[in-house]
Amino acid sequence: MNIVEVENLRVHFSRRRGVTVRAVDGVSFTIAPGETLGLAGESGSGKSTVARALLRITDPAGGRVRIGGRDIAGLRGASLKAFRRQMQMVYQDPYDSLDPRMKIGATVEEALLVKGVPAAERPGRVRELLERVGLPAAFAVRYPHELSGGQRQRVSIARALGVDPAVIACDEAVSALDVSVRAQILNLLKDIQEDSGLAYLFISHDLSTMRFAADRVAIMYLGRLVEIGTRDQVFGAPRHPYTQALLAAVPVPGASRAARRVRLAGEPPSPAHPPTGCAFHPRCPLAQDVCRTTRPELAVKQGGQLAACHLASEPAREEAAP
Amino acid sequence: MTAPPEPLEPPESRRPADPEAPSVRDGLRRAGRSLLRDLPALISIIVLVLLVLAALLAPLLAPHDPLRTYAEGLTDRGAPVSPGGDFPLGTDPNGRDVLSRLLYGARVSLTIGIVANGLATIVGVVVGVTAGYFGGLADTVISRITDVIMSFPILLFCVALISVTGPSQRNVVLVIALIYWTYLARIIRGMVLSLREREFVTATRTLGVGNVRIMVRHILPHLVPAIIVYATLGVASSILIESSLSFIGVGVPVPEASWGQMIDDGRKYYEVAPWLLFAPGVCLIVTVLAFNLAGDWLRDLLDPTAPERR
Repeated sequence: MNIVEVENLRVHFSRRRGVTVRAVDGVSFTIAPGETLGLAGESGSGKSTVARALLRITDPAGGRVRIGGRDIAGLRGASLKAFRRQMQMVYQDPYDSLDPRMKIGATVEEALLVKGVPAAERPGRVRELLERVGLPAAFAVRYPHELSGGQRQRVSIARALGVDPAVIACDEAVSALDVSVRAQILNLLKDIQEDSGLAYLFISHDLSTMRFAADRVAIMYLGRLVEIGTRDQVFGAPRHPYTQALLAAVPVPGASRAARRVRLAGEPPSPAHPPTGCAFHPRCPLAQDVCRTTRPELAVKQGGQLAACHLASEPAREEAAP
Repeated sequence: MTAPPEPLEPPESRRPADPEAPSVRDGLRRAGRSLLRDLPALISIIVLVLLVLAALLAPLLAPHDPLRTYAEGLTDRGAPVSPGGDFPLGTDPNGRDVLSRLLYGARVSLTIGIVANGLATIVGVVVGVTAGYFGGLADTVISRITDVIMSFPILLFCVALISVTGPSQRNVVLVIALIYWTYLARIIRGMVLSLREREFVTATRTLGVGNVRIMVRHILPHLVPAIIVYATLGVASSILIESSLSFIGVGVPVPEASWGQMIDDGRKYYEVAPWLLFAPGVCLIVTVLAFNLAGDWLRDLLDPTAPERR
């Protein structure tokens, strides 16, 4: 059974003059235990909002989110606190996600306190957690400003692991780190996953990180998924022109550039005033009349992944035909 | 201020020996070391201790009865006696000993400065954090109450309240506290509004930590520098407000002495008897300065990111 099931999730923000921004507008996906789902897209595409809605930092406007088989909408008080132990997040900014006035040990210990670990066992468990994320136990008495960015992200991971969650959302968790440290943290996340069967929702705008970290990849554009499939499907043969454009923009050493190269022009449109039809049509080099009027739904395309594009070819029948 | 929350560490006896574990003794030792490096703070704290001792021991230290008019306290022409001789700091126009009045006045002024301001700080912090953290209806109600209180001229409001309750030291303390908490509450509310959006607060909340613990452990420590600054400045303004109230006649009832009252009395005679103004004035300045410098030291001591002072 899937640990995370998201169905038609919608998150709206109301702005002045009655304008509603549909930051997330009907997103569905699942994550299996031990799996990493990558969520990629440009800034403002709603990736972080998805994670925040899953953690109930932001309340969804509609749709259904089940974590560990439980609908999280409407959880209050003690049951909300209990749910929070199921899912944790590692945040983007290593400089703001740890309390600068609290020692590392106390920060990690707070997770154990929440989980109800007896006081006598906590110092030992803090040491174990720090060692598990590759930090010396002596770091417990240090303050965050004495640590590097990579070390702080390790502390964030230790804190998240402290409540023994089933899912961790990594919201651009390695984007602020330099490349060598990034690889270390990604490897650490993988090791932890192998040990404990954690599921990750891995959010990044960086496709090369995604290629390394994710088992399955979902591409978001303007609050909606435009393509979702296994890493090999999406990276090997992207079906949506937006995915193709994103991949064409990534400098990948040794990878052969696709013959059909799509370039993106302009900025993504404002989610307050999304275009009619396919949200991508104003920037799409292949756009046709149908794209301007009818919004494409996610459907199985050639290669097996789901993509939301009128023009991507259907699977099987065409393939089977001589 | 708020009582320190229970420490995360288990009691010493149940914990395996850990040389790196912090303890109260270490904290005190650190405070002592930093105090030795910070001469102004060291002097300030000594001054504050002496002031409190002087106020407590006023009956033993005062050479004369502060309330009594001495015949020898006035010259033949009925003018106050200059400092020196029997009256070390001279006498006032009523022939009372200035030094004795200063010592007894310290009781009143320090009580008002510390208690009124302490009450205002506690209420201001609690209310400000509540309004800022929870927002919504609580914030609206609290903000409108502070608006109403702040919209009155301070002195007029004090006079109105005290003419209802009657002048006494206790009422002066309560009235000053009633007005001053609004200023701190406003500032704290604004700081909490931005603090609660910080990622570490979100991270703590998603961990499942309760609101009270977040406020005490993650919000309050970041407010300490501002609280210390405003609380130490507030000591001065509370003492001065009391002096204005005394001047109007609704402060601490005469003939009891307070520094503010003595300054106001002395203003009228500063050309013929400048010591009447200088003696309480210097005391007030020294007190306020000592509170501020000691406050600065305390703020740095409590900030783990502050560089060690050389």
